[in-house]
Amino acid sequence: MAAGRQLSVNEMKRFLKPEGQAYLSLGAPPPFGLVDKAEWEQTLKGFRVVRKGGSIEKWAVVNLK
Amino acid sequence: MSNEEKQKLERHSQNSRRSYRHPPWNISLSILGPFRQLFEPPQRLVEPYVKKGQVVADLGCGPGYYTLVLAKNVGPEGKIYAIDLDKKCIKALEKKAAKAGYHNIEAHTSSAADLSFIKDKSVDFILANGLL
Repeated sequence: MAAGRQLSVNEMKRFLKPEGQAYLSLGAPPPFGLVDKAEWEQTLKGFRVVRKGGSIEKWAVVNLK
Repeated sequence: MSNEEKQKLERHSQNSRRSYRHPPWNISLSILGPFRQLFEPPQRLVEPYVKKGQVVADLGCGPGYYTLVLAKNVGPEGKIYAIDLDKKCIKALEKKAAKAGYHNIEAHTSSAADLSFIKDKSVDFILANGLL
């Protein structure tokens, strides 16, 4: 995963309350989106996914539980 | 944070500022302007997750498309951290917030990789729409 993206995700995990939620998404679907499937899964690692979009729409509502 | 991590963060922050450009899909959304409300109403995304009195971080807030709705939803007891790399966007957001009378928005020009001004475990909801 890109260093900047990993740092951003680490920051989110740091300041999100244990009972809080986060909505994460890409700016656009592939081919314009910059994150492929494996990288997207890596981004969501460490979060519990509450809801998420399909294979084209890369968005997810996550928490830390 | 170790020195190595600090240097890595600083390099990333500098590179981000240098290479930041509006991606083409965001430009198209800006051009579409009011039509965005029709196919992407901000209330629809925000309302299920944000309640009165909460603390929210809007990462990559731009000129405040979601931020103002978030500010309305959390009310005066709540707080919004609005963060974007683009100074112009933050200035535009501050103007809009002042005009609308929202005093619960704390806007910062910053990379999402360095948000040390936000305390640990202090945010109820993070909106990172199109950030990653």
